[in-house]
Amino acid sequence: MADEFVLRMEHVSKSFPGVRALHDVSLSVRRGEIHCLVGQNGAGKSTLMKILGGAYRMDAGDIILDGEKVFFPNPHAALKAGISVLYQELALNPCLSAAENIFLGREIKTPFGVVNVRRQQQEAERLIKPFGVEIDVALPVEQLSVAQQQIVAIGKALSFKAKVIVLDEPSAVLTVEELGRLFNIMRGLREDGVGIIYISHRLEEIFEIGDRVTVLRDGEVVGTFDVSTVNESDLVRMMTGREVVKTGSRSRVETGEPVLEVENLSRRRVLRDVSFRLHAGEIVGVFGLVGAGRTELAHALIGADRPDSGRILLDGKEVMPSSPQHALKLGIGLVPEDRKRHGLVLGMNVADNSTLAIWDRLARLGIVDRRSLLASARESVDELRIKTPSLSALVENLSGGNQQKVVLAKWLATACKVLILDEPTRGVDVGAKAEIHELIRAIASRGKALIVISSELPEIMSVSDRLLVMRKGRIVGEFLPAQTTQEDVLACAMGVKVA
Amino acid sequence: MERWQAVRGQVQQDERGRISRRAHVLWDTYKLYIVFAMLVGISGIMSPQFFSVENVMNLLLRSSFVGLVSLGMTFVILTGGIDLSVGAVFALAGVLLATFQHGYLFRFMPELTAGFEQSGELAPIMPFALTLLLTVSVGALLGFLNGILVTKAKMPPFVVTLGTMVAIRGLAFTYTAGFPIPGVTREVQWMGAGQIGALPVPVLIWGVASVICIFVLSRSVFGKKVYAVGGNERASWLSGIDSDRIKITVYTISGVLAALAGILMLGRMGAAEPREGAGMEADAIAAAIIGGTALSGGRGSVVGTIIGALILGLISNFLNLMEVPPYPQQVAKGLIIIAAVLMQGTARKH
Repeated sequence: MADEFVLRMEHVSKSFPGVRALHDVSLSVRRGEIHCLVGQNGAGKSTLMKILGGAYRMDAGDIILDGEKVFFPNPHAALKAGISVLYQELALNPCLSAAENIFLGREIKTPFGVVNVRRQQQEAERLIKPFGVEIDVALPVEQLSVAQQQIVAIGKALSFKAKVIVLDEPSAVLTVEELGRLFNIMRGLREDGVGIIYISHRLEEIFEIGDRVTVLRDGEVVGTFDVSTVNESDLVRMMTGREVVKTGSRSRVETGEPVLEVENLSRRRVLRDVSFRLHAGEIVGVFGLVGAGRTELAHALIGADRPDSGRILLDGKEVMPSSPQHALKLGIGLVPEDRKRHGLVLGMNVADNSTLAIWDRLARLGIVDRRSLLASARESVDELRIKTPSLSALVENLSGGNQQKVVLAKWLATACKVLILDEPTRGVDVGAKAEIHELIRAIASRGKALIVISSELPEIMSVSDRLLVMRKGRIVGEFLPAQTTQEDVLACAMGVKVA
Repeated sequence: MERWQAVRGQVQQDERGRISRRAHVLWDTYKLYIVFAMLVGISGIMSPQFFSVENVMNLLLRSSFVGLVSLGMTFVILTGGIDLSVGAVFALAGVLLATFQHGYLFRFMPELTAGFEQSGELAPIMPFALTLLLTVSVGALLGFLNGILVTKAKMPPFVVTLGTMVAIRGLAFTYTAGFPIPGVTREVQWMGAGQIGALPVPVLIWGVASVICIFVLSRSVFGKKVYAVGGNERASWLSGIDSDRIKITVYTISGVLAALAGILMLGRMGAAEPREGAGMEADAIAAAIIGGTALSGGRGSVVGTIIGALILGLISNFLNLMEVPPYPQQVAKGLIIIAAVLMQGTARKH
């Protein structure tokens, strides 16, 4: 049966330990259609595409390609079947040239079985030509700009004569011109009957290029619409849902002397003119979509990255943290986003991890006072209700939520006046999440000034007193959570005017 | 009835499971000691002289040089690094001190060293303690240099120390034009070949250094930071630990201990030999690894390394007692190292 749809994903479900990523998701792509996929961070877009591309296995559901039920045990099988997925993270080998990357694993050979380098390069050039960009296809791709690499990746996808191409946020790294050329190529592919799934946070692009749009929220499909029948504010409303989040409890405006003042902080293209104030006992949330510059802001504040210009004032005195050590001395600490890579020494025990930042203080003449170390750790464990069999248990054996609490404990033990929490509840289960939120409030009520960075809108709405929204390295809005809706905040983060 | 039997069977199975699990935990904790004890046992059975005081002291003496060097190596490997330059530093230290003792601060020329060979006369240029200090300082400086290159120039430790290994060895050869420098003062001789009662002085020095290292690694803030940096450098750095300083320090320690061991060897041999300590780095690394120190850093102990060095010495000692000729000994030693590490599963994936 010649199907109207080149691809149908039906009733797809997928769970990760403790998280339901996708629930009964169905998505159909017509031949010659540009189908947009939108949703908040964590709505399940990338998971769905990884299933389509064979990188993840679904727990339940079917994939029907060209009317035939297919199963992809690995990315290669998907590629062979005619599905090219361009992930956010580029899947190019940095040491190989553009031509070699494009024809990796299916090299064009001479009759003698040797790689025909000339032909490969000619073919690669032919594929890249429509973009109107000069790319030396013989150069290792690591020497190309990110945008050029993106184009090589797209060229590679095209070379597979794919039936379905997935583009996951390509616009994030492309210039306006390059994006325009990409759109032209996409239109060309549409003419050829290829089905394209296009993921973007920039809603205006969807109205420029898309035919239909599917909205995902919390791992479920809200709906699929013809682009002509919806507008931007409809989409934003569907992405956030209508549920009212109770927030009122914390929203307040601090007056008085700020602890931290940031003035016109800029760093290359990732931070532009960022200014804000933070008071003792206050929780300021920083919200933004991926790539908005939230983590970059945190890194600049603790001296992990040097800002190009701007001032940081701590208690009215100008400071410029030059390293995390220096920031710690000044009293600014970062509870990093990736606790396994940046937060914990997994092979060390709970006592050592929770006191890591204050070892020097717990020692006399360079010798650790075990009793005060254990006392300090015991205090943290009790106070934060860290569930651990003992203080000498390795942190790698704790649950995600408890690991996160150990990281928090480490920073609470320091005398930091300002604490930055980057995604404090990423990857922890719902119960631990609520507990960590409560802890954050308790920490603030002790007079610490907190910056909470999160890409989960409900979380940041409920935990912060004041909310800053970042977009493309700038602070583009400030909200009081009690007096606003998730919709407004998300619209602001996406740069959309809500009617 | 049937059900009761099923329950009993289950209980028995649980019990057996628990016992085997406990045995597993015991093995896991003490495997290094068990391997060591087994090697001692086998040696004792195979050769009646093994347990004689003379042989035990000989074994300790022969292990003490690699033992000292491997202490420093343990610090370096704990931070996730490696120091290939120790053998060369070991040789250079001997050559330097011998030069000082022959009346020169700085002798670089072949024809001058030719003079050493003929006379072997001693004319120390400064008090003994000072020459000792100076030699150890050179070891410290070279280690410091390794540390700077690893941290500030952000080069891989393997590459840095491979380079310095070759360069420092070359320096040792240049200093003596490739000839040995015979003759050392009594003090040096005492350090390398002297005895206190039945105890050889190098063994005593190794023992004292070991105690200090154990204490530093287990009790001091610096020691804890060494483990933290090796376990997760980025997390430690973000927590305010100056990881560069820690790494520079461990390479310096490694340089100091290599130089010290080189001085002891000079005393033992009674002559400086620029070829001394070739392959020392391999033995020192082997001792640390056999002792359970993970090459990826963050895991290991000084006690383990000491046992590792003893196991290495034990293997040589055993093969000597068995009258295995030196060349096949090498083959056997290498295979036994691999077997020892396999048995205790240090290479387990994490």
